Amino acid sequence: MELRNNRKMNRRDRLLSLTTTAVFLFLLFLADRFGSDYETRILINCAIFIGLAVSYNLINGVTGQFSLAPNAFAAIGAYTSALLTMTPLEKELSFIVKPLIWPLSVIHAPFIISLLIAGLVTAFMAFLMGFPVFRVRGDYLAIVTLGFGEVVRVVANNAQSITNGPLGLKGIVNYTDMAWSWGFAVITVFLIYRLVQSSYGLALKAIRYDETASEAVGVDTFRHKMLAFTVSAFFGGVGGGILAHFITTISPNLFTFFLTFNLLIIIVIGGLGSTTGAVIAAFMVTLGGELLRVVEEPLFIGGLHIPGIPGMRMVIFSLILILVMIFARHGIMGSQEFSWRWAIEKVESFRRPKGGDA
Amino acid sequence: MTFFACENLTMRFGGLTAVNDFNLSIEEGEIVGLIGPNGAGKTTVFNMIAGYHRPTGGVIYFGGQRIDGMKANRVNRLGIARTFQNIRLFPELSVFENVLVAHHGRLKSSFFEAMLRTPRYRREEEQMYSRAEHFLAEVGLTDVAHERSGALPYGKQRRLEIARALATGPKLLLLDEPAAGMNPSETVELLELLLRLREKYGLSLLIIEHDMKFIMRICERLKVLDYGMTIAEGRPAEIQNDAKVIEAYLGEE
Repeated sequence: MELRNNRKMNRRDRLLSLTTTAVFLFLLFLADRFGSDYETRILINCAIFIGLAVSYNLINGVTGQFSLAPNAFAAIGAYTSALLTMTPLEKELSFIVKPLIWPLSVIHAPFIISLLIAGLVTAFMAFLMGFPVFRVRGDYLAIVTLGFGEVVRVVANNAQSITNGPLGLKGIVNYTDMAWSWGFAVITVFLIYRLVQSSYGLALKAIRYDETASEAVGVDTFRHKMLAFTVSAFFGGVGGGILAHFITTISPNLFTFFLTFNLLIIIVIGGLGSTTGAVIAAFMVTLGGELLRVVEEPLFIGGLHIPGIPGMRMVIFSLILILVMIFARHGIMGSQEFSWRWAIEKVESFRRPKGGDA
Repeated sequence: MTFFACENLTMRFGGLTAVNDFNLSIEEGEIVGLIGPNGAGKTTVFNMIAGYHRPTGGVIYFGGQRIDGMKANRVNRLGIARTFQNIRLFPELSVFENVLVAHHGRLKSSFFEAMLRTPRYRREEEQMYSRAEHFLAEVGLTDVAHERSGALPYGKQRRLEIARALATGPKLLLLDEPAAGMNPSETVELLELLLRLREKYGLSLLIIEHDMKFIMRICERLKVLDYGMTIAEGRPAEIQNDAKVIEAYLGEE
């Protein structure tokens, strides 16, 4: 018996994946073509959150290191890429309190280059953060990373000659469209999924379950945690850049703990450690958040008039979260991944009558 | 060149001396037992050898270099693998994956190559799969390969941990109470398995065990610890009649 077959994608699986992706992208294309502006904006938002959540899940879910710094990564990425794509004239007009420091004030780069640089800068910052962060574990690690998130925000608020302080950056070109955002989401999911399925992914999961035992089988736990953190930061930074060119105005307040909190909800609902789960949950949370807007508008139910209550959708949202935690503690997918083998077996077990000979 | 040697190994935790002046050398292919009452410092010796504790004093040589104070993952890659007293598998990973991950330490491809699945990575992955299949067959766990390792019965978990240690390609295997919790027939199977593996892979074994019948049968040489001190050393037959050893286990008359 070849045990490996259970872990490997065969031809059929690959074909099915490609077809599904193609169909999905075609549907997105249709939505882009015929959907309203509001609808495409929701879909773009959705794509950005998928990319951010999947990359956050790599360190938090797969590797089990409870980082609370994805807002810092998104912030660094957003500022870096925005400062690169803005023209020198725009920058001069924006920075009214203190002028922008020299090399940044004249650099001007195309969008794709700015995204890559944003990713690299963020990854480098994560690499530096990693040294103090991975000296501690568990709750302490959460607190240290939370601190870093705040430090980045406070720096953004005060380093006026780089970030323009609380005024933020305005007039960023709206480069992000359906193609950019979904391109980012698909590439991020693809590469991170590949990494998680590889030998490296196994080592990261091993660290999640037992660090001592991982060391005993030759896994350099520090190096691998650093690796997951840096890769996660790279995609987080690129995501931040995409986000900046979508909302076109960024300020330190955009990257508070609330962003981290949203991403955390997504990966917990999806199932910590499951890339598939993170994708599904990012969809649900971003689309669901929009659909639930209904409850904030005045309603008539059976002659009863309910005035719109602002904030009501967050209440319902929290209720859903509580229900998930009670009835599906491990999230939608647990730590499992979607596989075609599993899906086909499920379909076949439905078709076959129960108790019949298989 | 000595294969493996500890010289004057000492470990103090604050005011407590857990291991004092411990000396041990192991030849290639030898099976040595480390026994002693609870709290004698046996596991501390293991932890120092395997890189989990930095010794307070003394040196450890392995394959011609000093390894004391090295990190555990490096010690493992140099060729010392261990199992744990209270089994430490990756419970949520499958049996197969538990053995697969043991190959990761010797992977040469970078994570970048793994992400892009370059030919070199794919070649290494094939090798990783073959080795894992091989070692699972070696301990007889092929039929449960895709089960969650945490769901295995106790005896099989012990064997899986040995397969996982073996898959890292060690020359010296440290086994911390491998027979604990096994019934007599399982213990005999374990004994045969270990002897066969030693023969086949040219392993040296250092074993901590409380099951005296097991340890007397498998070991060529024994070392007895009590309160961190070495109180006796020699062939199993000699140890059995040593007055100091009997006193340490049974108390004074």
